[in-house]
Amino acid sequence: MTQSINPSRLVVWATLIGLIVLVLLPTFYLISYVFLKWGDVRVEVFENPIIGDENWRQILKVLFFSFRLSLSTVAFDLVFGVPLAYVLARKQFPGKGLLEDLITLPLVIPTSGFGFATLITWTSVAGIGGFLGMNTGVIPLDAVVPVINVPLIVFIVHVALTFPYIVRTLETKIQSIDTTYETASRTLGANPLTTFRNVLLPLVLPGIFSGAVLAFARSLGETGATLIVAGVSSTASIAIVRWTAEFKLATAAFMGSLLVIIAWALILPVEWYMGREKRSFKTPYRLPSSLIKRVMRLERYASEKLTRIKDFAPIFVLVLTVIVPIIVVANSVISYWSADPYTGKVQGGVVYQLFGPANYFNTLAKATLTSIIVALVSTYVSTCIAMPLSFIIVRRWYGGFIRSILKVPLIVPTSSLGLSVLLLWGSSGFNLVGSGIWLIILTHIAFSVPVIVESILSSYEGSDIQMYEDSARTLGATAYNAIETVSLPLIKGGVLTGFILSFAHSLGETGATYIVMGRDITVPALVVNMVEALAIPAALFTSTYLIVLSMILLTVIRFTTRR
Amino acid sequence: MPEVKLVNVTKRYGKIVANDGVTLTIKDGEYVCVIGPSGCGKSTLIKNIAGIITPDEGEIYIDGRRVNELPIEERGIGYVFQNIALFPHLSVWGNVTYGPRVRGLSPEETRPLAIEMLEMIKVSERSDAYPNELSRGTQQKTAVARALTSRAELLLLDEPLGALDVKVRAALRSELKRLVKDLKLTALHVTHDQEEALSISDRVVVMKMGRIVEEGAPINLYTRPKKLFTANFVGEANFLPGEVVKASGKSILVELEEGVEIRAEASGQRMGDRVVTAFRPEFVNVETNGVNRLKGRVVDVLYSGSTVRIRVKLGNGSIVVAKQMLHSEAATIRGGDDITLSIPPQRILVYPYPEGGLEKELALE
Amino acid sequence: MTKRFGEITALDRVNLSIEDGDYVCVLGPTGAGKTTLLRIVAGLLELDEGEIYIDGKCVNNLPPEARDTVYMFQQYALFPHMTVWQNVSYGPEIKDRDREKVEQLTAEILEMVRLAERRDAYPHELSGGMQQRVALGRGIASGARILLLDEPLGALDARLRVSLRTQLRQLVKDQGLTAVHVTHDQEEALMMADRVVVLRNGRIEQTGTPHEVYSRPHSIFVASFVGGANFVEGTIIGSSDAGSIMEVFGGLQIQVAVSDVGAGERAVLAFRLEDTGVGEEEVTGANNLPGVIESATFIGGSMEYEIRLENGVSIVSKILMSDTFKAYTAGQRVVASFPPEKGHIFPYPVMGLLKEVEVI
Repeated sequence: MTQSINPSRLVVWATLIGLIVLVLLPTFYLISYVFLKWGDVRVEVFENPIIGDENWRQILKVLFFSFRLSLSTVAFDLVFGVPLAYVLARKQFPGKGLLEDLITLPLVIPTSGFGFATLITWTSVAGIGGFLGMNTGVIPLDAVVPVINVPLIVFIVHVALTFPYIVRTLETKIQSIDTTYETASRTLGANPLTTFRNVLLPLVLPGIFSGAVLAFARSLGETGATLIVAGVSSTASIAIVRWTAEFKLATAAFMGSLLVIIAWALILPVEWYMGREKRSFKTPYRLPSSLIKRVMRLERYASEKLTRIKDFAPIFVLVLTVIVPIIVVANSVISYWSADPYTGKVQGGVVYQLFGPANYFNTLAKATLTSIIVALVSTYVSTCIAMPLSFIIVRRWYGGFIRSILKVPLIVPTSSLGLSVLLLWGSSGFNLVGSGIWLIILTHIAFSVPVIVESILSSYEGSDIQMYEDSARTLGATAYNAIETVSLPLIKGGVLTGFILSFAHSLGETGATYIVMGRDITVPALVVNMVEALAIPAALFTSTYLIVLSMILLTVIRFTTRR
Repeated sequence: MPEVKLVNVTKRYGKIVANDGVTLTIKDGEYVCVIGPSGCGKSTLIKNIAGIITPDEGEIYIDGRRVNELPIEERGIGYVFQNIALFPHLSVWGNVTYGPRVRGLSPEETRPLAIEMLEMIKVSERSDAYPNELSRGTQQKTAVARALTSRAELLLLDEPLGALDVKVRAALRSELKRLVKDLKLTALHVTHDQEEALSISDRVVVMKMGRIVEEGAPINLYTRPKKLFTANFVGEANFLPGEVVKASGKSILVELEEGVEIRAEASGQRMGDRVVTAFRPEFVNVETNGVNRLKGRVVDVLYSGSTVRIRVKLGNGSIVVAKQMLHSEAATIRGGDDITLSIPPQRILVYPYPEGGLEKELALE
Repeated sequence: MTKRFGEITALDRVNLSIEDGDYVCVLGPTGAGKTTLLRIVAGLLELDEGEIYIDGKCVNNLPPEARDTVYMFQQYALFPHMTVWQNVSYGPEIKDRDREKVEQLTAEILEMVRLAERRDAYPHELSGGMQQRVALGRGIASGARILLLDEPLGALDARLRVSLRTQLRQLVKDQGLTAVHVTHDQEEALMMADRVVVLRNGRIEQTGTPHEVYSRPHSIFVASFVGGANFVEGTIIGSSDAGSIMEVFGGLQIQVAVSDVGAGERAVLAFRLEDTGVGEEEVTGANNLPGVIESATFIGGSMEYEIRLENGVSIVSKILMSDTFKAYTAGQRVVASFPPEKGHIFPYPVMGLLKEVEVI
């Protein structure tokens, strides 16, 4: 345990350097950029000679909008996500695997393609509207959620994309709690709902917090789909994209830094709270006794009569927000294949757009190649860093710290990450790498490493690997040997899952890529371009193509983890 | 009126039949222990009664009422778990008052119940402590108190002492028995520890592979087990196979090997029957002028506090264990000595030779 | 050896010597520090103070793989992704032995633990007892001469445990290995060990052969933990070369062996349950304690009687089943007795008697 052999020391150092240079530096660079160029930033944002502090006002306006949107999204997610997480964690039923896949889908689905699919489904005649015989979409583009005042369509997209964070985090947390506590409660006379409130809820509160924070941060940082559906309104993350395109770099950087700081400010207390969970379990809340009798009567009633609703309502939400758009967009490709079904114009058909003058097919082919290269290279490099990094996290005293820091690239807005990478390696910074495929790869590594590490760590924590390693050591294996012969085979599943998850995510990533891509274009970014060029059928086709690809990858994950 | 009745209860998990047509009646006020090796189905049985799982076939009655479809919380039972399962986020007081609280009792009604229970198990001064501050033995006592505060009259215990040190187990055992008897409860207690079962229960039920092998009062299962498996599982025994060469009236003569015969009490055997004789180590006498002399050589002598276990290899290679008190003459015996053992005929049990083979029949897992 | 975890001192200046070929049992309640001790010897945990010497050499800075020890977990820790064969051959393979030699050794070991036909099975396909044998085989195959066993029989059913005790000890002795076996089951320790080390709260209370520890306990804790005893408080009223006399509550006078406790001082008398006879009449030469049977509990091979003496104190007598066994029932008047030399005297503990013997 105390001996360090040369190869392993080398590996540790190489990994840590890789971590800092490829993951941490890009993530936090924005902040240092703002510091270094404070003069420029201050002028552009606060004391602009032309518009005064208008940029600052814009920043605030956009931030508040984002906060309203994200908070309401999380609230909605909690209402439906908590019951669903409970059902998934505790019950067995046919089709459960399929449901789990459905929930994982938004994590790997290409955001731009998905955003587009949602847009078409609800706001256009090509979607549900046409299906119902209307001649517009079901929801007008400018429909707003009452009270909160955010566009309905943006809300729907955000709910769909953040739902998995709450459900999966909570599901894992619930599964980690021994069922005996709930059984004990039942034998003492409490119905399932009372049991949930009294016993399970206090014990999984950290999981709810964690899931909510992740979902909030994800919504705050959501770029790809929002770019497509936001219309005239602007969230913080797409503001970054717009300002970068307008060369208001200082403003964009300032916004980006703010978002990184907010992300970190959210994660830190949650991690600290989660770290405390083992030590203090005391019930954080208590109902006044006058209410209790009434509450329990209600719970008894709900336990008996409302179980069906609790089971199906979340699924209904899921179907509406995720499945329906996918079906619609796939269906549209078919109906728009040769010509626009409404006007009959051939120019409005998919085939024309792909193979006609615009020749999107060519662009698509090139983009696909780019996407795959990027995904393969970045995932491979990320895995090489993530594997030793996971062991470092588990065995070294500073491991917990690294793990917390790794959460930041996960929740930081992708556009902000992209901007950070651009500024760091591009012409304004070290000037090592120009916009283009290499920059895209570097960007993707930054958010892939955390994904793979988390996947490996959860498979490590689910088993007694430490015990097996110790056993191997006493049988005569060196630390290095033990890891090689015992630990690695046992975490194989986690590595594979992480790899595929990361690969799929990389394929569909839009926000960061859009900022750094320069001339090279990936498929999801292509969708954004198509939408802006109003080449709707082409966009339809490309979105469907991407979504199908991610679904295939998801099935592969399922297949490998089953074994 | 019988408190608990199981009729033909069957539960399957895929191809494994955990409970195979189990029929059992537990009388009001009885303390029944169900014992058996791991996987025999005892845990499944008790979970069926509690409602934690439902049987595929058969009926379960509690106090005359069929409860198959009744949810756990309505069966009026107290349940004690092997892993204790005290709610970690509630104090001792919070845990113990949980039952009455969720059953709708007001704090005023609950207080006296909880105080009385905590007094009975002698944990009153620790009522503000949280589970992780208590020793395991105290935790389990609290869990028992929690199960009983809701006035349940049927107590189900699933390996309640399994997670405790041997010494703690012995101490808690007697407290448990006292508590159940004082409160006049009916108890069903599942365990793999036969010593525990023998000391605590009115009746013991032995299970193997989903079925009940035998049931009876502890002393009967020990002195006169009706089945081979029981003889091996409840207490220890020596098993020597042989053939009946003479059967007359009250006694039979069994030939163990060429020239070695022992006499036992007759119980329906006939000439030529293949049998297995069984006798407890405690009843084997050393170097006396008794009947049923067996000659052999001492393999080793193991001490265990105040008892001595002498392992002897007989002429035909079988091993016989004799158990004696330390202060007997047995103390001077050494490994390698030649030795003669004798067993009183009335202490020898005779069973038909099992079809599947002796080792399989006696297998403890 | 000293080891601390934050404010808790798990091991407090423990000094221990183990001879080559000894089967040593470290006995103590949960939390006594037994597992910590074992893990430190294995090299899985670091000492805060002190040294460990194996074969005369200080091994403090040696990693686990370089010490001559192998550690067996209570849950066996069989590698789930390897077959029985691969598990057992792991040790020799890692040490880079000759292929043929490895195969031969592994086959031998599998024969020894009687699992040759299950060589291609995976751990989860085996029963508890079988897994334990594989773990043992794997440990022996590694070639280490010191086996560190952490509650090796703890995960097994009670009945199985009893029958495997002799087999385990036999295996270790046949191979000529040294074993350090940690357990909280005193019956197990007494039956299996050449020497017993009683550990409590990080300190050694007593070491000795099972017989010594059992019949000459140095403290109330040892008398209580190893074998169990009746404890009666009283005062020493006189001593001579023949022995001491102690007066207990109610004026009853007991004769015991010579003790260090002086006349007039408070003391605690301990005598074993198995040394306490029960009869209808007094026994000459023994201490006779008339009383009434409160309860009779049958525990397999023996009968336990709870007897209330005339002075109100309750004691327990454990009588082994035998051919000449006679049963008594609750309410019967009997005379409990024990020979004077079986009574141990201890000074009255500072913290009170209950604290010393309390179990839960």
